[in-house]
Amino acid sequence: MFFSRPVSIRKQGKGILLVGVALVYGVFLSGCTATTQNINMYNDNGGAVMALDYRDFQQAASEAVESMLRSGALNKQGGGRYVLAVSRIMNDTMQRIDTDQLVKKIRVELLQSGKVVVTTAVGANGPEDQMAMQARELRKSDEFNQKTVAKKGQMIAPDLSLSGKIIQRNVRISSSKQQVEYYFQMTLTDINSGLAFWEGESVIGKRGSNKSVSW
Amino acid sequence: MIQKIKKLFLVLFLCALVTGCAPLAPGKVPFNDPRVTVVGSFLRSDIKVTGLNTRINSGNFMEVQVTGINKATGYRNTNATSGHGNTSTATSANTANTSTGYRNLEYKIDWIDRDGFVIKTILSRWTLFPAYASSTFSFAGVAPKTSASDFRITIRKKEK
Repeated sequence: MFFSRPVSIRKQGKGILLVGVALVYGVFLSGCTATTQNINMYNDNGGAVMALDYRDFQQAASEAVESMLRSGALNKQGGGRYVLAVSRIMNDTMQRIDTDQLVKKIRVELLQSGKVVVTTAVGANGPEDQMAMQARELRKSDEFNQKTVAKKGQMIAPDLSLSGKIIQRNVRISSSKQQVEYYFQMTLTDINSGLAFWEGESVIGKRGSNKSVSW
Repeated sequence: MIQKIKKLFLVLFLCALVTGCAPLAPGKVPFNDPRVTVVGSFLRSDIKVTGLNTRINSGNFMEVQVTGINKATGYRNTNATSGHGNTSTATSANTANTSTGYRNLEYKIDWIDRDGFVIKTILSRWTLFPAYASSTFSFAGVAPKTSASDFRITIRKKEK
């Protein structure tokens, strides 16, 4: 009994110490955790990143569309809209990019301009929407009212083809700094003649730490 | 009496001649178009928009260009830099920057259709344009639709 008191006091002290340490760690960790925020897409003042982000795609797409609308390349003789097929957009960067991040923006703007309509039945890697062809197989089915099935010879062939390439070039500035250049190159080809009616390039450059990963 | 009238006419004629030939006084900007807004008092004291050029291009899209002036240093004649044309009919937007250093500015053009509705488009975004010290600079935009008949332009300092 005489010796047991100091032992329990020592145990208690250890316990208090552990709780204290845990509290300090807790405060430390919670203080370092970044809070999640929604990006204000209309006025994003966030710092630039070395990799490509949505702002870069938006810039490249809007520059391409603006250039096309200015050039007069979308003015169809006799009026009306051109039918556009999306060809291959090559990703020649070190990043895994879905090129639709760029192409979709361009397509939407061109469609809304009233000068172009995009076909999803023809594409460089097969039709974007296979349903147009699959739905035609219903011609064989007695279950479907044949008047509602797509008729032969109704699809419209494309007049124009949109192709492009996204290129990345890394330049070492110093042991701690690097420069990354991105080139967005687009071409609008007249399918009938094979001539490029419009070509455009947007360059986006970033300079930052070597530790920043751009792939 | 006739001599007095003659003198009066002479004075009036001389006044008209002098004011007609006088260069634009610094700070006197003959432009006040509500379609263009420079945001921030700091910027407004330096940069003044002096004119707008609009046209309908071959695709029936509206195009707009902005011309400007540096109020602090007075009028900078765009004829002198471009070497042709009258400033009011200059083919590119020219704005003088009076600051001693390089400025990063941004502009945004909101396009408005015939019914007064703002057109939602990726072309309406904050776009960077450089302003070198004591130099002119220009920017222009094209409407996303042929139905666009009006616009609102905002110029601001680039936010960090």
